[in-house]
Amino acid sequence: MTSLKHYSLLILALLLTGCAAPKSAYYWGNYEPVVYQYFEQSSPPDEQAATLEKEIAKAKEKNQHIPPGIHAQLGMLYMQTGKESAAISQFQQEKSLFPESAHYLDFILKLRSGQKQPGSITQIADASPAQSTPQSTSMK
Amino acid sequence: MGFITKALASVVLASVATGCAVQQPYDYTAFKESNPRSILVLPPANSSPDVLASESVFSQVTRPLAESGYYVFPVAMVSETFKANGITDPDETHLVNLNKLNEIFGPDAVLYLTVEDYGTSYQVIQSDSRVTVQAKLIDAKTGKHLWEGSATASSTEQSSSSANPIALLLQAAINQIINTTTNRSHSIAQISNHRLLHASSPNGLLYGPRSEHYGKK
Repeated sequence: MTSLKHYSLLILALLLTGCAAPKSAYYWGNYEPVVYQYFEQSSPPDEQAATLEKEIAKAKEKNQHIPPGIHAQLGMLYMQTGKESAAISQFQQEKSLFPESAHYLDFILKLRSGQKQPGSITQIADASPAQSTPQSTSMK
Repeated sequence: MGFITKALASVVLASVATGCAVQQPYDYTAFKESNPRSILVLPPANSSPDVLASESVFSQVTRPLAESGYYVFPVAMVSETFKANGITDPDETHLVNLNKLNEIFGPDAVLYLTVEDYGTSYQVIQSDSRVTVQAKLIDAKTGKHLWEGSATASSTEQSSSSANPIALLLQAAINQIINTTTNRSHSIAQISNHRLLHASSPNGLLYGPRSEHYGKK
């Protein structure tokens, strides 16, 4: 319902600009609403993962392209719910669809394999906040 | 005199007929030279009073950029990566230097967004849900400025200009309730993001390598 409302607003906006809407390159489904749910923590991670699994299946069913980020997002949700090998498989799929993501996802995976801390995105070794370690090469 | 008026009128008519506004050409020299494939969007800085603004806008940047032909780094995961390293404030992510961003993410370009307006204000005649976002695209390797832009969307664009002032006041009060309860700003943000980040916009981004329109603008 909400996405329907979003969609009609978008169409209206396109009509207002007067330019024709180009056809979509990807199957979007509820990917962005799920990302918003993640930020708002308005639904549990396993529920969000289930929605993304369905969206990926729908895209394949409709023979449409899977958008960038959806496999990575699903991988992260799997990580947070302790499904390590499923997470790695999702990262691999993101990388094979979008080689542009390889550097980042390899970076995350390498750190995780070194630290073995399930449950969250791994802390980047030398990137602690500047206040506590002013001498180190922090992210700031 | 008559000729000039006629000529002007036909120009106006032509631009109305084509529907797309005619604008000054944007200088894309640095953009074309950089030719980015992937864009790292940092969590948007927020100068609006609404604490939801940054994440609302951030959750809706992928679609217009990907449809324009770019790889977009997974936004929630990008946000988590910063948080895992003690950077929880979106504004602070904009201070992280390019070397560090390259080491972690390896993007071709970095997009810095600032939410200027986000939310609903009750005005005498009508309530207005408005979202304004500014954008700046930087080459991740050289730090060169590639593009900048700004876009606004507002709920009042769709309102009719009815004559009865009392009806309008009532409508404004009702809209206000609807706007806040259904978080209309979030939907408005989708429109402003599309205007800002889809390459079809006048003076907008160029199409990226994954788009069928790549190289045609």
